[in-house]
Amino acid sequence: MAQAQRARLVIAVQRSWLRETLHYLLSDLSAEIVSVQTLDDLLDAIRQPTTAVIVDIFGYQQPYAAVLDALRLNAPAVPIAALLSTGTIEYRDAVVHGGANAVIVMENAYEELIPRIVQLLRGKRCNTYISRLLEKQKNIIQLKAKEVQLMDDVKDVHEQSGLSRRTFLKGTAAAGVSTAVLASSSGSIVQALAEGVEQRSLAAEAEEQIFNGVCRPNCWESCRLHAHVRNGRVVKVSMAPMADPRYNRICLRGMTHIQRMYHPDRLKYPMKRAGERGEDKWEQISWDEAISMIVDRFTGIREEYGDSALAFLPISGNYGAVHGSGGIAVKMQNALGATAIDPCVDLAFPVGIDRVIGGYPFMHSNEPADMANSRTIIVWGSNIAESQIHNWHFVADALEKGAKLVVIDPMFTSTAAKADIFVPIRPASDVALALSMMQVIIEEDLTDKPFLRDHTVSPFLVRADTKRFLRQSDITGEAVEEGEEDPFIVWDADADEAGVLAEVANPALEGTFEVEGISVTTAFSLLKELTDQYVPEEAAKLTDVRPEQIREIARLYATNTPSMLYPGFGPDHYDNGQFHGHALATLAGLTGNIGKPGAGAGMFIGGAAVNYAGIMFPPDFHAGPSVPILKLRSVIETGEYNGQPYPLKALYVHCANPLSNTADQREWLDHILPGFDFIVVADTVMTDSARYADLVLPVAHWFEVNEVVTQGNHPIAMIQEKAVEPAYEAKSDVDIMNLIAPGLGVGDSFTMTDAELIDVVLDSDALRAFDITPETLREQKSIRFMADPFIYGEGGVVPTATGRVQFYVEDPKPRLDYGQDFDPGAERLPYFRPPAEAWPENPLYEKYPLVATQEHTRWRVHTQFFNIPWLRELDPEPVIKLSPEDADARGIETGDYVEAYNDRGHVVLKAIVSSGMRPGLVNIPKGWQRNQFREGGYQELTKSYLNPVTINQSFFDVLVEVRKV
Amino acid sequence: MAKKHLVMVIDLKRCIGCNTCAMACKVENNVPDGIWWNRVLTVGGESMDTPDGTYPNLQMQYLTMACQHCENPACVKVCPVGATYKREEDGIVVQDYDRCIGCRYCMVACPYTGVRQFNWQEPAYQLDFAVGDAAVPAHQTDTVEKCTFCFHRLGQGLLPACIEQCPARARHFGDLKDPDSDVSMVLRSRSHFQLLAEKGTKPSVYFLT
Repeated sequence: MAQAQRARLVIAVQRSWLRETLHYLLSDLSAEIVSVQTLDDLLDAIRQPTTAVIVDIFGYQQPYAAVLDALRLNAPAVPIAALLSTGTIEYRDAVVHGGANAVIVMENAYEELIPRIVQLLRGKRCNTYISRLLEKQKNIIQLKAKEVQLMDDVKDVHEQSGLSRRTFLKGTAAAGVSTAVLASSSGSIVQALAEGVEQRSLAAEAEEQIFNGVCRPNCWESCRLHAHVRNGRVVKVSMAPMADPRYNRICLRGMTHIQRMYHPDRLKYPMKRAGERGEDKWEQISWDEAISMIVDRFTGIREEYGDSALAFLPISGNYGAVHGSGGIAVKMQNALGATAIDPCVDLAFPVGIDRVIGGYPFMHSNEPADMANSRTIIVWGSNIAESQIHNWHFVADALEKGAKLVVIDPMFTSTAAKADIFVPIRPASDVALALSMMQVIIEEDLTDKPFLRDHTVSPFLVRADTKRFLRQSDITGEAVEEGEEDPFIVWDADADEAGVLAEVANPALEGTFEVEGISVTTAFSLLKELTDQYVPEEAAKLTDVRPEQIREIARLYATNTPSMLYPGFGPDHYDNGQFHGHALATLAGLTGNIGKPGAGAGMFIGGAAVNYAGIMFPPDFHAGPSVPILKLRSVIETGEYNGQPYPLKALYVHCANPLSNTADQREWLDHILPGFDFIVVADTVMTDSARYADLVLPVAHWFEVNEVVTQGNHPIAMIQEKAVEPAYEAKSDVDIMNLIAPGLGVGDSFTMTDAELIDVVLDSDALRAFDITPETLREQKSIRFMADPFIYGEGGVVPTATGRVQFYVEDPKPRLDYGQDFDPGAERLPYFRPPAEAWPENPLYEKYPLVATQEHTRWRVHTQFFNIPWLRELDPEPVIKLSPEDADARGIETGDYVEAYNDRGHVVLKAIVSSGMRPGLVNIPKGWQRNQFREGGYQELTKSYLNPVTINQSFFDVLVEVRKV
Repeated sequence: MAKKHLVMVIDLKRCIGCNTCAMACKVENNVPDGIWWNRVLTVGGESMDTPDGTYPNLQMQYLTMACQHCENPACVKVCPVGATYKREEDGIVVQDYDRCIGCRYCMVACPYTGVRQFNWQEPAYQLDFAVGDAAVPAHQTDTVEKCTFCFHRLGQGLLPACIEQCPARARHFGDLKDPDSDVSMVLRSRSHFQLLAEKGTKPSVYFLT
């Protein structure tokens, strides 16, 4: 095997600079290098077994042909690389005919030398040498192309080398690196080649520094990470220990930030539109020009149409307190009096559960670690194993201790695969199932009576006339002073008469009574009246869940306690979504499964009580009005909102990609975006929304700024240390706002750096109570900000007006009031109501018989990570999943390209046939840009229903048909 | 006699197929584009993340697959140049790129399809700089490569990347010869299997069921 022997290269070169270069190049190949001067020496040298000869063919007194002949004669099998110069280039063909295996032009040595040597060695199967040479060649090319970048790196190395506390030396000192790199900017081939070698060897030994990082998209998880930096670049991301190790976490996406930061498609500099909107034609401009463009356009629009003609639109793209969706750009919005666009996402469930147990919007359950204490866990409309990967291990802990897992989902998800009981429910019928479970629990007397009496509104008496709770003032007829208590009246079951709540030991839970001529019924009886309509046999017709299974899970939930309901936003994404939250909290109230370890009915997306006001509101601010995103088209088209003139002319999008993350993409493309005169999108990458902007601003990546994150699925505050400078010309949101502020007349409010703003955010007594200050957090990186354990509504006392579980809502309110009509009577109990579109009784069902859902998978977070090469190797392109029944009926097989369509729009993508799909349901995993589909876009299918109570986007309340293309 | 017998134990009840282990391996080892040393397989339907059965009576399981670091490795026996060998001190099956001649006998001999990967071309990367740990050897054209049990990390007192980063807490690693090690204890207390145990390769990767 040639491989096993050491290679031997003979170099016969007269010119010393080239000989030295060759030595440099070949020096770390661990090959034997023999350098010779005269032809005799050369011929002598090749008598020993030789891998290749590199010869300056015109460097001898003998003619080149004679040199070649002599070489061929003495060592016929040894490959020859002949060196020519530009002066002798015309001999190239002749030299090859004469026996040379390769020709290298000396002046082009830095480009040709290595490829030619590689060519020679290929025949010899010298893998090691070839790969090393190729590596070296890459370095040489990079050196040439990246002198400027390398200079930047030198700067970084110097800056970072001061931070010795976080420095992990792995060999050569940083100074050595910078010397080598500095030298590389001065020119000759020899030097470039030499430094290429040195640069590479030093790179491998360069010091590695570790910075604290936080991954913070809207997956809720907010992972503390380590960003490993070498040579001024982040080269690795790893899990970092949390203040509470139960929350140590990282996922596959978190490790791919490197490819986010250095992606070739990263937005590199400000660009203004050079074609039609969406045409993707751009002109690179300077930051100065970008800033004056914003200032000029914003000022002109404010002067002509008023402050609220500017609109700011963040969604949930960044959980950072300083740069995130509620950070510095919101301060700008408030400083200017601009319109806040309310994104209307994930808010139906919160509206429903908040009525009953409080905690709006996302804070109505125990901390996730507490799930390990549950004996029954019902995951309802969530796929923990993919969309909240980090909560899964708590479920696994509970299961190891003998808990039962129930998964209620129309699809057989990765979480369902772990379930003891999979409940294959019809989409949007969740409330009917919950009501049926209540019916079983009440019917079989599995309720927690003391809890009903003491911690729910069960004994409260509801007036037949006003539908409100009976109060003392109703009986006395005397109005109560503002601020005075007006006690609730209950029915004393022992005395068989009405009495004040606090004075009645045994209030009646059921019954209809007359109190001072007022007809009243207990809240519990009203609920029972409703649930009686949902005996499992009836509910089965709506939910398609077997009656026995409904009884099974109801009994399990009520008796194998403590029981945890773990909801997701699946049911939220239908027009009847609020009742899911309402119903789950009611179930918890009926069985006393709230306010204690292992129990709960809501979500925990915690947030520390940071000084948001300090960052969001400048002094003497005049916050503008808010317009729900679902009203945007009407405001744009009519120029009115709430009956008042309301011009909207400029849009600033940050931490958001509304075009592919909000409903009805065609509405955006055809009606909303054309209505704006000026659209600015700030992002790290070209999203759909950025593509339709007039001006695109390149934003710094999360690891390129200082930040603090206190929001997420755990009670821990974390600090982001700036690991590297922003790549290319990117700037942080803070720097961008600081640059545009003076021109807009609000410069005084925008003078602080991101690091200084962290101090502002953390200026909070609630945090200091847990010893969280800028200093402690910078030192410890992550600190818990809640008591351990955090139990929501501990002891059954929930943060509602009554302090009780209010499953009967006397005064339902819409989420936002813009003067709309709604029916309060339809909101007081957890009523089941079919969704707006995705229901068999809808006439549209004839034409579009498939409900279309958008699974949130592990491969992306909304549209973030959409273009990460590592992730796309595993999950390369958009797919639609169909049941075998629906696929067969349409002649579709896995791998076919299909069109999903309805009256709103269409999308063409690859089909996957999966028996995990419920017949009649299709699933397009969420999170792509339009140009990743063959045609159209997945958000073209969704519709922006405006539910007047929840004002929430119903992403799954969608009917489609699918055909093969 | 090996001084240690390092083994990996993967709890299939906890594993959710999230691919974090696969990605941890890929980044830590600067694995070239298109190559995965550690992959997540769906045991179920024909496509990834699809179950077996008829709705709603379905089953699906995830299985992570990498080199099994066999006690009786077929790859070592067939390698003509000794490029793949078993480390005396801990039983790790190592692949020496510098010795490998790219004959791919080991890939044919190995019964665990896909755990050994071959660089048909010059290793390609999206990024123009090496990621992961600086101590990882450079990848080479015409050579076979595979899971190393992250031996470069073991030397630094760290666990393999896939073990440390697993968010499901589903992976264990340690010395099977130490009766008090995590892996020894968990294997004593739980039912488990090895892949293709009937082939006689004696794999060092165990799966808890």
